[in-house]
Amino acid sequence: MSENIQQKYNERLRRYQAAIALEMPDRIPISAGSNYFAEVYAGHTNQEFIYDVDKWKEADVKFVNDFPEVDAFRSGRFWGPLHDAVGFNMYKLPGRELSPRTQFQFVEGERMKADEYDLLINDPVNFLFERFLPRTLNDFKEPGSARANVALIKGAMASAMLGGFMRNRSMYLQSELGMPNSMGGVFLAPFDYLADGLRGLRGVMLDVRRQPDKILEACEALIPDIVNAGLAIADPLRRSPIFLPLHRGAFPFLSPKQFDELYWPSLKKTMLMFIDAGYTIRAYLEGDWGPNWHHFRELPKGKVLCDIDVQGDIFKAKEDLGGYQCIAGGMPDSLLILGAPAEVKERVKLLCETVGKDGGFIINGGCGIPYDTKPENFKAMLEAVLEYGRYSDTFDFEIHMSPTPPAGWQPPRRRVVTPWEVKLQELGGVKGEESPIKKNWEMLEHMAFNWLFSWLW
Amino acid sequence: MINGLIKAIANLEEETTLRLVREKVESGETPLEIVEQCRKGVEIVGKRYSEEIYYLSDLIMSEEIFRGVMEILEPYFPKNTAQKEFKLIMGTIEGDIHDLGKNIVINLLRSVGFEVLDLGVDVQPGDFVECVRETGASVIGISVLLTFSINSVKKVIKLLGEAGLRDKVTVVIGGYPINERIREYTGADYYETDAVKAVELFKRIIMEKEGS
Repeated sequence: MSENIQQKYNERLRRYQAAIALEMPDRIPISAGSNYFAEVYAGHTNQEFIYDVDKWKEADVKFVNDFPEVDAFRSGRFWGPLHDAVGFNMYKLPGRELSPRTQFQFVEGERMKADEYDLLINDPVNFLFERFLPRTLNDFKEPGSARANVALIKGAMASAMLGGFMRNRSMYLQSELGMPNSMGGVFLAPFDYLADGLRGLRGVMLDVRRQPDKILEACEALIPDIVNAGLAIADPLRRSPIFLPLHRGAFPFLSPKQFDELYWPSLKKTMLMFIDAGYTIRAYLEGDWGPNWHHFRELPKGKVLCDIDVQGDIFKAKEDLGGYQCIAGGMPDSLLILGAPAEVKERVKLLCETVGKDGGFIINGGCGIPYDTKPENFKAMLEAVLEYGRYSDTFDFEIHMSPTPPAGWQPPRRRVVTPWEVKLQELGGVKGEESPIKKNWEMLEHMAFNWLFSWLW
Repeated sequence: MINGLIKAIANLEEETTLRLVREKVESGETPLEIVEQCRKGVEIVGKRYSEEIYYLSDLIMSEEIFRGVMEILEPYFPKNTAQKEFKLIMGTIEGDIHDLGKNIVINLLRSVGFEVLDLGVDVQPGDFVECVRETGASVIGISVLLTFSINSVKKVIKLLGEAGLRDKVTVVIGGYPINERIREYTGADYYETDAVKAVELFKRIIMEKEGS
């Protein structure tokens, strides 16, 4: 990496990390977690972007070169061939079921039945293989068949390939473009695993009334696996926050009482486990979180960047979260899509003078920059931040980067399908040293379980 | 007057509701009378929702209870029901498959007595217009959750104009990203982002139309 690029990378990362940590950077950072706009700005269709990883580089290069003011960046992470390999039916993809020029969409469904909570809680491996995966992966409808077996092999290979693509992309962004990742890795709130992929929205909302105890029990049981699966794909150097899209905790899905009892406790516990492991979190408060976001004050200060969606009131968010957590957002989607540059600048000026004036603020759309943002509006937003969002010429802040967790940290128990003890017994003992054999056996078993778990959402 | 059934639905007591409905059927009340009471119950649910006593989880529960009631009553409805008169057409716009909000609004509209024709999700702009021609409905509700699909809504309005139907038809758009700027851009007549307020809006529109 040339010195100049390295310097640029450090400058951006410092600014981004400082704001998250509630320190004052030199200016308000500009960062979308999901930059949908960047996916199509170079002229690719949504299908091309999802199906051809070579397009990622072209898109990233054009976007970063044209908009160098952006401080941290991430665009799409879906790779269509992985979905196709197993017939993942939780999403409709552009160019497959949808027109090539539209966005991917989540498909609601009841992929876990109301009476399957105990199985999920007590025997998740069996639950996944016998119940959930046959309903979720169209190529795995008949477990044990050649087609189903090949689907798993293809799926595992495709996941490994995707991991490589993502890593290369990250390296390229860093070493050639000097651009940090705005997020790395992902996890959901335990309740949202139930509400999204497992029971579906309708199913979980009925369970809220009919069997709330089962929801609580399942949320608790899911935590260790959520944490392990999230850590497996997070930034190994702990520079970028882990992505946490929050869904059904928004107003008006649950009442405040339901939120406090069913949604928050397991979410808080999960977040604290990531924070204890040395990570920060970038949480999308999707929809209107106004009645519930005060809970984020219960977490260690400056550890959870909260993206405020367009339905949330950014000014109120600042009032409620200022001094506790950094917030991101403030640019309405409709303004970026339909407005004019002068209006965009006016809005940025207002944000800089109010929510941004004493730090703890990152400029963004509502959890992302929409696909159909007008380029001249995006440009106007960046120019206005440079004009109105400056705090100082220099600032003190040391980049946080650590390949190891804090001293004394232990991962939650790691799940395997076949424990080493069973294997060892079958082998009748080993003739050499046991530990390297055991360690790698368990590592691959654990990776396999994480892979199965990854289809929950 | 609030009877036990209305109250049971309003309080989202599923088992009590279904038991009462079965008892009423046995004692000879007509399915229409029973449905009418249930509608009153659901109306109270809607009211409590707008007062933030109830939340979406509760609306979905009321929908589920109402569905259970209709299942019990189904065999008792007269077989050859007359052609329904649809006043309202609802659908989620082309390119968008979200249906939660649309279904809640439809359920509430039906519970206050409107006949709603549900075109489903991913509805082509031309299909809205075709449906107006076929049914003579004069109100369209379009659900749109993706900003990507806003241009398809605009197209509905354009096609209505080309078909000479624009003056006869009131178009309401709804969904969380919608605001006045988007309404103006699409050329729709009204917008609403809250399910219960949307029902009030539809009521007002239809009353005005009937008054005129």
